[in-house]
Amino acid sequence: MSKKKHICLISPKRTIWAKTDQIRKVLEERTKLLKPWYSPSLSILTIIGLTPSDIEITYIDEDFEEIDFNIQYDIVGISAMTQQVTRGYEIAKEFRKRGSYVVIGGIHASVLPDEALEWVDTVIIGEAENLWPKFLADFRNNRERKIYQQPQGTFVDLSKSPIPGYDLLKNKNYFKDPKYFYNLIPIQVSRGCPHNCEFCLVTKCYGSKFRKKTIEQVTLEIKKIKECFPGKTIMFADDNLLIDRKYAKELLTALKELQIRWVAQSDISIGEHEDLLKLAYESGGLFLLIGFESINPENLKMINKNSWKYRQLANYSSNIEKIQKNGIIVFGSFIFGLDNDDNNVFNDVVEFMNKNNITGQLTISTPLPGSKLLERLKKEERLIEQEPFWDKCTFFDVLYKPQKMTVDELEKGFIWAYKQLFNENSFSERAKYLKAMYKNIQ
Amino acid sequence: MLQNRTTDLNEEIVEILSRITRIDLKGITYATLILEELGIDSLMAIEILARVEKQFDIIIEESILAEVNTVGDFVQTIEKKINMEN
Repeated sequence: MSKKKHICLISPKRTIWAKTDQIRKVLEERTKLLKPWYSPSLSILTIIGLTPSDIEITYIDEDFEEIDFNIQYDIVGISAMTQQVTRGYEIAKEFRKRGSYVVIGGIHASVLPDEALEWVDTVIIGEAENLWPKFLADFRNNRERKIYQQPQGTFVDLSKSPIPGYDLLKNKNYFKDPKYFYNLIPIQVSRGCPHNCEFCLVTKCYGSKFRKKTIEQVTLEIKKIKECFPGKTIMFADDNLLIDRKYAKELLTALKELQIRWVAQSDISIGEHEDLLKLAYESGGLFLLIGFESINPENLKMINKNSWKYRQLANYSSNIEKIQKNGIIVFGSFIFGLDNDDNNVFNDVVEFMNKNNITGQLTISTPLPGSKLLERLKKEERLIEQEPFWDKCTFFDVLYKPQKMTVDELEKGFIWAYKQLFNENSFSERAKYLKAMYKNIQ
Repeated sequence: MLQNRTTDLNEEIVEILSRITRIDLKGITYATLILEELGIDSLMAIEILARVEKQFDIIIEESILAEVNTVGDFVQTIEKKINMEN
């Protein structure tokens, strides 16, 4: 009988907050009010779910655990976001030196497979559900290929996606560190987005059509999460959980029975659907992360071709109020450094957030590889770092010359905005508002 | 089961925790860790404080949850607050 194969799946260390010292220092000082989100890699959990039980699997999240390079694995699998990929390549190099076969997946390697192949043996391009089993079968038969890819223009049928391998994390020590630990457990029920924003790769990688798992599948996955991690808040990793209103209604109705707390991303138009918001609260919804991106109309017109974001602007405040009135916290996401941002943007966004009593995250416009934004900036010769600057794609570092301010002004203004929004006084003001909001709900 | 639960008031506070976190009462003891085991972060904490304030007609500073580690600490702190206001 042949020896059981052993795979090590690794999520490389990531940069928390920024590479730039002055930005990182200010954000770190606020950790009491500004906790980074920690959750397991859903890509790796999905790979675990796709791996047959006759293969032994080790999962390593390098944020919590050091890698022992002296262990001989048959296969090392790496899943990395752009900011992790440089470390991912270092890991690949070490394991290949020791004779392990290294395979990489994730959006970065999917958009730059030739770069990845300089470091690894095989690249899985795009969604893994159909490709990982093919790769494993080929590996067993010593006929593995350099690239595995879905046929052009086709996407995975999510109703055939497996339950992610949550079981494997049950005994990990990633939940007990008093400072940092997994505070959210991810689940994904859909993929695809019609908006195709300039800075984003979701439409490019997952297509514009909204694909979804069945409600029965989602129910089983949540039951598994509850069994493995009782009491943990569930994070829907979907780019827009509630975009298909009919499906959202069925999903939220099913969630009501499951007794969970959850967070998700949506867009501001959900404010116009109070029936769904009521269901969202009743089913355990805590907050919705909403990508406002900007409150400057010219920025919003540029973000996507059909100006969908711009058309929502007039209703930002009224829709925020409707969401909050139904018991859901609005966690707004804003980008600084867009082309129409000048020195006023920092004060404008702080005022907007305070006026509407929302919390959230502020980020710096980041030209990810594969994005239309990066291509445009290259043509305009505005990059301030030579490629590859992947480790700096943290969303908290400035990587290109803004149009209407200097790099220094952007960094200083960004820090100023964080200081305004994340201090004891502003937190207390928001908390008062939210407490009143909850008291008005029966 | 919650150990050393002595009063109705304590039970009411724990019931609020259970209702907001969706964790069954049986899974909550005085030793249960607020952050790590009940998953209560600063946002969920606001909902809990709002429910406690409403139920007992008191005002609680938001900073309170930063100072407590366990359910027992939380119950005790709220109890003291209620006694003070009465």
